[in-house]
Amino acid sequence: MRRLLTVVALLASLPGAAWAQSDITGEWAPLFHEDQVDRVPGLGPVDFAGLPLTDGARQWALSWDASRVSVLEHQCQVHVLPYILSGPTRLRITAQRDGNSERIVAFNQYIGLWGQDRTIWVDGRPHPPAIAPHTWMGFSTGVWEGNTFVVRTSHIKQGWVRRNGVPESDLVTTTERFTRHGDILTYVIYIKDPVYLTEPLVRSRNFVRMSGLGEGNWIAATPCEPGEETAAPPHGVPHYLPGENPFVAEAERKSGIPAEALTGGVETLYPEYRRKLAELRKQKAR
Amino acid sequence: MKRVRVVAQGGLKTALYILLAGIPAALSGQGTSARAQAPRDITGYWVSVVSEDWHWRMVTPRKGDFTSLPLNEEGRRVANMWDPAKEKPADACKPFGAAAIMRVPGRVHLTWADDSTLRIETDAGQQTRRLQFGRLASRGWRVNGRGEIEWFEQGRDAPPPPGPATWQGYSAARWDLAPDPAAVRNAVFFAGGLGTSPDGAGTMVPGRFGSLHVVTTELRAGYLRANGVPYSEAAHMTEDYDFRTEDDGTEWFTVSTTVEDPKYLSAPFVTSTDFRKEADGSKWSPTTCAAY
Repeated sequence: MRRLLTVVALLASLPGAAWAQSDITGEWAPLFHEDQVDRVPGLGPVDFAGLPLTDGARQWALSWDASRVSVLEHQCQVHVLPYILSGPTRLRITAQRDGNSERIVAFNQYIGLWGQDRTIWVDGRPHPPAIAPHTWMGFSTGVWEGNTFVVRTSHIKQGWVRRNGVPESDLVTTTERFTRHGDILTYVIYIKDPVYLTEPLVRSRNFVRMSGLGEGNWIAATPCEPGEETAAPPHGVPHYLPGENPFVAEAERKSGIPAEALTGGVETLYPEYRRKLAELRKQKAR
Repeated sequence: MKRVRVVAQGGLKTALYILLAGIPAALSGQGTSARAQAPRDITGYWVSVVSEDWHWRMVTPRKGDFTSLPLNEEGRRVANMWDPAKEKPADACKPFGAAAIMRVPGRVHLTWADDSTLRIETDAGQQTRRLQFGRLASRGWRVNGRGEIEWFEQGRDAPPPPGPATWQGYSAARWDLAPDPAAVRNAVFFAGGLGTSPDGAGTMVPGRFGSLHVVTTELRAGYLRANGVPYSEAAHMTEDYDFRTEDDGTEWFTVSTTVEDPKYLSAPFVTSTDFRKEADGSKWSPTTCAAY
């Protein structure tokens, strides 16, 4: 029996990669070789190209005034899950073990941006009923498909899928895939929003493994305290009425892209749109 | 060779070997053709979904727009010299070389040219890539005849065949396969219980999974972006293709691409690009480099 236990213990101590899984735990830094403008400084107003928006989402986004982030009720909103790992954030992934069995019951992710913690349960528990509270990071469960960690999330608060006012509803669900290739962690998120997206939105990002960089590279979580920042009348909600957003023309002028394209829609995601776009640009130039 | 020894003796060792004996083929994927090793049918037409870098892919960026690119000083200097009016007809395919082609909006058609050659055709620029299997060393986990679980590297990477540099270069490929949990369940039984991973890190979904790993060299100098951002003949590229089926039944792959170029890049350039499978080739729209 002692021998059997020895074998069991030795097998259990094999690295995870030996059998099915990559070790995705550790600290990861983002690479900004794609969508850098969207993810770091942020795109300007009225740039929704490449998003499969519904008409309602477009109307919401066109009515959005950047001053909304200064409204007391909005100051402490954080990037919700569909966006946050696109942002300028480091990511720490750790395993959470059951104290008795030592089995992993969850993976925890600490997201440096706004100091968000999320738990991804791998112990087989179901998602809660629809009426359960929604949070910025939602409720997540994970499984392994070979070397890919697949995470399904629901119960996410209302937020945005692009931080220039493109909305995300609290009915959104996501499927994320974390796949490690050497020191690169490829992250793919598949976002389904029955309210604001006409088809799922896919995004893929890359992180690089951090080593020897030390704790000093992490930004400590800072509690958010809302406070009056402007002289605007209290409880007002900055907005633009339909047809009155002044940034439509400005966005066209700065980018050289017609508003028909900048205001997004599923058509703008596909290669054949290049021809239509070229035609629109010709018309504008005349 | 890194080796993990499983200590077992006598009858227990024999029993353990029997339990583990069923998995080496699944772990190493040895003895079958590249086509047969493919974890799923990856052939067919795939469309690039341009939800990222839209302004840099759907239109030719302005001269001097190097956003996101880790160019070194020489790379910026050469890119700033770009003059579309001076481009020669022979330069038309520069933005369609292997280091950039998967980022160009378009469709790709994947087919097996033979058991060890995967062909990727693009309608944008009408390019053809040939991924040659059996040229890279095999790597993976297996159980040897002594009942030991070991990491193996078999063979060595074969050098590229002699020949001129081309737009698509020379691509060597291998499957990095994950074992099917069903194939390892005996071994898993020892450590974690049926249907779970050895350390209990969650449910393993039954099925065949793995990445397609590709190394490309022998490239003719081209453009990383259509606005003259260069890569040189010294560039080389590694790619990992991950195929998947979403819960709504749609099939996708994401290719993670790392381009390294000592001449024009100050760091590896890493992107990931998403493709969705289409029912057929009805939207296939071949366009020459010049007409794109």
